[in-house]
Amino acid sequence: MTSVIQYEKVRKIYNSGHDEVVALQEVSFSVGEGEFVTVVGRSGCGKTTLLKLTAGLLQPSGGAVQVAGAPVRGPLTNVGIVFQAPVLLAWRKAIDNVLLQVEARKLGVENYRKRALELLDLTGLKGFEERYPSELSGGMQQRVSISRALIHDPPLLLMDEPFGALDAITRDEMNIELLRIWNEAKKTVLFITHSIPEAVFLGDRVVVMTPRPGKVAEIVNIDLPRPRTTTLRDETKFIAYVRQIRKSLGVR
Amino acid sequence: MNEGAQGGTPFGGIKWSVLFFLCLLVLWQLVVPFLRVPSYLLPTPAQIVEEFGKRGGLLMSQFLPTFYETVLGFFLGVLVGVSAGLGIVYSRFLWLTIYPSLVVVGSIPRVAIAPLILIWLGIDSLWSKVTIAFLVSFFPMVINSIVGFSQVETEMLDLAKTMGMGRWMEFRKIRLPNSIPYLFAGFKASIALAVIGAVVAEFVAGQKGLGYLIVVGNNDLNAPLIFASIIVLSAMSLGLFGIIVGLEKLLMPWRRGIQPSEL
Ligand SMILES: Nc1ncnc2c1ncn2[C@@H]1O[C@H](COP(=O)(O)OP(=O)(O)OP(=O)(O)O)[C@@H](O)[C@H]1O
Ligand SMILES: [Mg+2]
Repeated sequence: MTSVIQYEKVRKIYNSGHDEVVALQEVSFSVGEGEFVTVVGRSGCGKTTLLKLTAGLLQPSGGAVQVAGAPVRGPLTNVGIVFQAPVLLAWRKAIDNVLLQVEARKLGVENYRKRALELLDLTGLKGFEERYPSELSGGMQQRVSISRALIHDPPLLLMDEPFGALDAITRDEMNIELLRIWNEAKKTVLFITHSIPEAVFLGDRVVVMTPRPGKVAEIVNIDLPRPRTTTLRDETKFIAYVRQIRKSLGVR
Repeated sequence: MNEGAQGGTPFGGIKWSVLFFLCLLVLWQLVVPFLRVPSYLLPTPAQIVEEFGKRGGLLMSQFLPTFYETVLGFFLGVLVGVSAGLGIVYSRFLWLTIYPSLVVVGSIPRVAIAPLILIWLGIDSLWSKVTIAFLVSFFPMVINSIVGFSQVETEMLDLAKTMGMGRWMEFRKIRLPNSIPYLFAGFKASIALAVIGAVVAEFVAGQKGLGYLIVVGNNDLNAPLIFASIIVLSAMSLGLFGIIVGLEKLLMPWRRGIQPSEL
């Protein structure tokens, strides 16, 4: 399996005036083509930093990040990104926020309108296409942002706690939906989450990070059959993985 | 910025404020003769209305110069303010040089230089007064456009980069629409200041305009004329302000659902 993302001893130090924050210290792992890799870790352990480094929105202080075999020097464009916050434009309706991706890439809005509606339907926003972000709940806004990350069918998806604002039921549904899209379109996914069960449920592998300075504590191979369904969560093997990761995060 | 509506339908309270205002007028009309206040100190509403009848033509002819000065000064202020804002946001050099000194410029009481401007540009020229209105009013436009063009979520700009947006598209699709609410806040502050600038210029120049008419009324102890001029001035301000608010509503449909208290 060729690797799409490769982290080699990646360090990131933030200089905020007088004091320095070591956000990441020596992170090394790789993500293979078509692989679904999840990252769990406590708040502030450098997960968002890792995602931004991957997208080329930040430069590492040491080590190297490679995507598709080339070192990342500037912002990547063949990706779909979902940030922790929805980051929508207040003056655009839901559908037009999704279509921003298409406009920016000059792909022709009319060619993609149908796909945008499909994605909004898929993410449970049918009937809300013409609403402004201020008229949507936080979770609904986040689903608009997910649709925006998918519409140009990118080979690589970078997702930063995309379902953090959703209720448990919608979250489970979205997990299944995401796995379906991933399986159909053969994407590579780097998925960051706070939730250990979510990380296990989605991932081929779970990267467990330790807090400050951020390091990889363990990488757990999730040997569970696909396609995965909600009942998987009750199986002993699933529960064992969750327990193992919880232990490795230092939760007593 | 507050439209004065406390919940419910906007302007739902307008009926009451009109009624209250009418009562005030009636009270004024009754109390002034009763207390024997001479009309050169405080005229009655009826005397003011009479003044409108007597000198309607004069008021109209003096309204026009003030209107032109205000509107031209305002537009000049918007043009210069927005351009300066753009320059400062997009040029690191201007950001480092001009931006800090703006604070100093902002603290100069700009009406104080009105006499100088009149000497430099000529007392009877329209443009000298336009310049004063401009100088008094442009400042909020600079500040508001800087804020509007630059206060965009970093992550939105990050996303724009990964979408392959160039600088021009980023401006058109993100920074410019983002600035609209800030620009409108600037317009509202600027138009009020432009009126003040124009009137002060006319006070000093003493040639024409409603500001000049107020000076005349003052010299002749003609309080009804002063009041009539102030009413015309206020109506002008209100009208201009109303146009801006109307445009704002038209251009920002995504804000219609937001109550004034949330702005
Ligand atoms: N721009 C910045 N300047 C300075 N320090 C920063 C910056 N961004 C993040 N940090 C610091 O780097 C560390 C890691 O931050 P990061 O946002 O990557 O954490 P995270 O794992 O995503 O946390 P969370 O789960 O809460 O989102 C934190 O200690 C944070 O204070
Ligand atoms: Mg984060």
